[in-house]
Amino acid sequence: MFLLEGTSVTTDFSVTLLPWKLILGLAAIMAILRFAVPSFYRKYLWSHDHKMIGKQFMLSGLLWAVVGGALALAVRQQLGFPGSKVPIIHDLMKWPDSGMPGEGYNVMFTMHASIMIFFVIIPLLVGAFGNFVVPLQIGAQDMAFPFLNALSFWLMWPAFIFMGCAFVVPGDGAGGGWTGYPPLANMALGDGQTLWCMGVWFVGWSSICGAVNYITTIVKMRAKGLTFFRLPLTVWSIFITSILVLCATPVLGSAVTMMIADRTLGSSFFVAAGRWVGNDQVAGGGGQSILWQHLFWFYSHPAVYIMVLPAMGMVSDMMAAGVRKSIFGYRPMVYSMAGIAFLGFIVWGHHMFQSGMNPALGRTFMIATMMIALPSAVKTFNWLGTLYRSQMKFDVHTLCALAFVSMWIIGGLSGIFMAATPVDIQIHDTYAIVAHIHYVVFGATLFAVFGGIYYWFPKMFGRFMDKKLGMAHFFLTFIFFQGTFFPMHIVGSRGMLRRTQDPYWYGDLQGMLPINKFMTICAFLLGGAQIILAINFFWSMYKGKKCEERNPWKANSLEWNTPTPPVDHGNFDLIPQVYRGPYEYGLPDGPTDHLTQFDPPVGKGDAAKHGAPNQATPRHA
Amino acid sequence: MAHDHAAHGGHHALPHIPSEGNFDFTNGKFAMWLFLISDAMAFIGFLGAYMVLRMTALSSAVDGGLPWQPTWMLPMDLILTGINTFVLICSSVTMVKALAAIQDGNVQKLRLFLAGTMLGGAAFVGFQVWEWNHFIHAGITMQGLVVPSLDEAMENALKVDQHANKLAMAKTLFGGRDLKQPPEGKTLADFESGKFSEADYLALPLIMVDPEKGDKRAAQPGVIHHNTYAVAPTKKQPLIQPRELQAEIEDAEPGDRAAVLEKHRSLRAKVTSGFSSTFFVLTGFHGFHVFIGVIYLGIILLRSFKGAYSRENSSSVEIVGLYWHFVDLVWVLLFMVIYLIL
Repeated sequence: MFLLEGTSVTTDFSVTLLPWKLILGLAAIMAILRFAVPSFYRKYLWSHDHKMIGKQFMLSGLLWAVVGGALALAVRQQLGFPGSKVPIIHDLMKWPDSGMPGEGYNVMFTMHASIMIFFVIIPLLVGAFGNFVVPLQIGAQDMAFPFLNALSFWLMWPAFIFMGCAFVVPGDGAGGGWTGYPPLANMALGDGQTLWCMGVWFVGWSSICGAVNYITTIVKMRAKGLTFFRLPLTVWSIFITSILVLCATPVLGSAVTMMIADRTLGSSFFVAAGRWVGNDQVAGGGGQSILWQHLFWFYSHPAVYIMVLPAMGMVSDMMAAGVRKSIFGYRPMVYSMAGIAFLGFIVWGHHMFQSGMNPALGRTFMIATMMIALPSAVKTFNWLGTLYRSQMKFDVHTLCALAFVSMWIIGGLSGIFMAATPVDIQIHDTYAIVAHIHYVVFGATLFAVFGGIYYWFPKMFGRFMDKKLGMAHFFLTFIFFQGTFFPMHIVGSRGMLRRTQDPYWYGDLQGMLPINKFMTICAFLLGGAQIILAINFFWSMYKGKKCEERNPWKANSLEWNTPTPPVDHGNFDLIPQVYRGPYEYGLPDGPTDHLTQFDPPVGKGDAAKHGAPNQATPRHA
Repeated sequence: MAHDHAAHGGHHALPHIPSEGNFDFTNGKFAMWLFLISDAMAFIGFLGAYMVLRMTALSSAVDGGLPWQPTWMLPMDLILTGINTFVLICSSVTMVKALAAIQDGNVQKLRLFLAGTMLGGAAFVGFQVWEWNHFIHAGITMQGLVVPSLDEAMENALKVDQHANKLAMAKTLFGGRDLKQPPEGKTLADFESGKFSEADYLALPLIMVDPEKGDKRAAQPGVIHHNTYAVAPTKKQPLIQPRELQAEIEDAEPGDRAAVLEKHRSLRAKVTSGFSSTFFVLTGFHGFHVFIGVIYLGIILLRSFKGAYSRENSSSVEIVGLYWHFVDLVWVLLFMVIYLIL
C-alpha cells in the first residue's frame, strides 16, 4: 500500500468491522425471535405478505425521513445562523464550541441527500407504495416472489447499519457529497466514506430484487381481463421505474465496487496521475476521476426518474378519483412515461457540463435533455386537461396531487434552464440547483407521497386519516415549502454556492444573510409542520374514523374491490375480473358517476361491451 | 355494482386468481432473464471502465499520460487461456445436453451432464486461480505492477524477438532515451532488427533529463516519470521515491545525469495501472459468477437425486442453464477484450 502513502486511504479494518458485527447481531436477534415469538416474527418481521412489507418500507422510510430532515435543518441553521450550535446534533457529533466545522457541514449535507434519496424517497415510492398497491391493483394475491420481496426489505437493514455507522466511526465521516466524486471520496476521506459506499451497495441490491419482482408480477400476474392498457397508471409507473432500476442500478453497483476497491485494496480506478491530496502529490495513476462521474450519473440520472415516475402514476390515480374525471389521454400518459424513461438513459452528461467533458458531447447531452421536456409537457398538459372543467372534491390527496403538478411545473421549468450549457455555466453548483432538485423531489414527489399516504391509508389500516389535521399539514407544508425553497432560485442565480459551509466568507454573498435567515426559519416551520403528519398518522392508525366500506373514495381500480383492510396474506375474497380501463369517471347517467374496473358490463356505451379498453365514454357537456 | 360484491364475500380458502393470456413462460424463467439483464449491466459497468481507461491511456500517452500495460510485460499465456475458454464453452454444450436429457425424461443422463458442466466450471475457476497466482508472483496486483529494473529489462529486450514488442518496450521503458539519435554507426533499423547491444542503449542520450532541448512532449514518457512511477525496493536496494530520483537527476549537471540514472539501474519500479485494477476486478467478478454457478449446478444435481425433475418438470434445469450460458457468453466477451484486443 506504500503507493498511496501521503493520502489517508488506510482503512482501519477493526473500525469497519463494527457494522458487520451489528449486522450479525441483528441476524442473531432475528433468529432468536424466530423461535421465541414465531407468530409475531412471521407476521411483522419476516413477513412474506406484500402489504406488510409495504408497511415496513413505509415506516422505515418515514423514520429515516426524520433523520434526513434533522440533517437538513442542521444545514439550514448553519446557513441562516452561521456558527450557532445545532441542538442535539452538535453534541452527538462532538463538534467544537466554535460551531459546526467544515467537515461536519460536509457530512450533514452528504448524509441528508444520501438518506433522503436512498432511504426515504426510493423506498417510499417503490418499496412502500409499489409493494402495497401493485398486487392489489393488478388483482394478484401477492407478489410473484414473496421471499425475494421480504429479502428486498431486509437487505435495506445492512444499508441502514452501514450508513448509520458512517456517523460514528473515527474520522470526519462521509463527506463526499451524495455524488461521492473522487478524488475527494476515494483518497481524502476517512472510513465513513467506505461505509457510505457499502450502504449504497446494499440499497442497490434491495432495489434490484424489488425490480425483478415488480416486473415479473406485473407481466405475469394480472387478473383476468386486465390487459396492459387497462392498467392503472400507478402500475405502469412502477413497471417502467422497475425497468430503470433493473438497468441502471447495477452500473452504480459496479462503480461503488470499484470505489471500495480504490479505498481499501489500493487499486487506481479513479486515481488520476498528478493529483495533489493534502499537500502531497499522489504517486499513482492509471485511472480517471471523470470515469466515476460517468458511471455514477449513468445510474443517478435514471434515478431522478425513479424518484418521480411512481409519483406521477400515483398522482394520476389520485387526481382522477379526486376530480371525478377520466385521465386526459391515458395512452399518451403511458407513452410519455416510457419516453421519459428512455431519454433518462441518454442524458446523464448534463450533470457533467463543468467536468471538462468534451463540449461536443455536452451539446449532445443538452439536446437530449431538452427533449425530455416534450414527454414531460405531454404529461403536464394531460393533467391540466384532466383538471379542466372537472368537479373537484377537495380531499387532502387531491390537493397533494395539485401541489405535485404545480411544483412539477416550476421544477421542470428551472430544469430546462439547467439543461442549457451556457446557462449551466452560471448556475452550476449554486443554490439554483438546490432549488430545482427540491422543487422536483420535495415539491413534486414528496407531496405525491403525502397524497398517497392519505389516499391509501384507509386500505392499509382500515381507518381514515383525520381530514382537518391533514388539511393543516398540507397547507402549512405547502406555504413553508415555498418560503424555504423559492428564494433559493434567487440566491442561486445571484451566485450563492452550494456545499459551502460559510458562504458569507465571500464578500459578494454577505448581503444574502437575511434572505438565508428567512429560508432557515421557514425550513424549521416546514419541519415542524411534519409533526402534524406524524401525530395524524399514528393517531389515525389506532383511533381514526373507521372505514366501513370497500371503496371510500369511489375509485375504480381493483384495490377497492378488496375488503378494508384486504384479506391477510392474500388479498381478494372475490376473484377479480376486469371489464374496462381504470378511469371511467364522471358518467352522465347510471346509479353512480363512475364504473369500476370490476363492475360487470352495463348498458350501451359501456366500453367493456365493445371490448375497446379505456375508450372515452360520454361525459358531461 | 361494486358495492354489491361485498355481499358475496366470505370465501375461506383464497381462490387462485386466473391470469388470462399472461404469457406461457414461468415466473422463474422470466425473473432469471430480468436478473441477467441486470447482471449484464453490472458487467457493462466494469467493462466500460476497462475500455475508458484503455482508450484514454492510448490517447494521452503522447501527452505524458500513462502507458497501458505493455503486452510483453504480462505473464499471460494465450494458449492456456484459450484452452480454458474452450473448456468453459464445452461446459455450455454439456449444459444443453443436460437440459435435452431431462426433456427426454432421462434423469441418469441429466446427472451425468450436470456433473460434466460442474467439472468444466470448476476447471475454469481453478485455472483462473492459477493465473491470478501467476500474475501476483510476476509482480502484478490490483495495486499496480512491478516494472523490471533497467538491468532486467535489458536482458528481456535482448531476448525478445518480436519487432512490435521491442518497439512497445522501447516506448515505455526506454522512453527516457532518444531513439531518434542512435550512436555513431548505428541506425534505428538496427535497433528494430535486434542489432543494438546493451552498450548501444546506454549510449543513447537521455531526453527526459535534457530540458535544454525544450521538447516537453519528448521529455514526458520517461521511465521514471514522477507522476507515473514509484520505485519499489528490491532486496538489495533501498526504497527510493520517484520524486527524489527525479530531483536527483534534475539537480545533477547535464553531463552527469546519465550517471545518476545508471546508479539506480537495478531498481525495480512499481507503477499503478489502470490495467491491473480492471483486470482483477473483471476476471474476479466473472470468476465469482462461475463459482456461484458451480454451486447452483450442484444444488440442482443434488435435487435431481431427490427426484425433483422429470420430463414435465424441467423448468429449474432450464433456468440454471440460462445462467450458465450467460456466464459463458460474458467470458467470451471478456476473453476477446482483455486477452485478444488488450
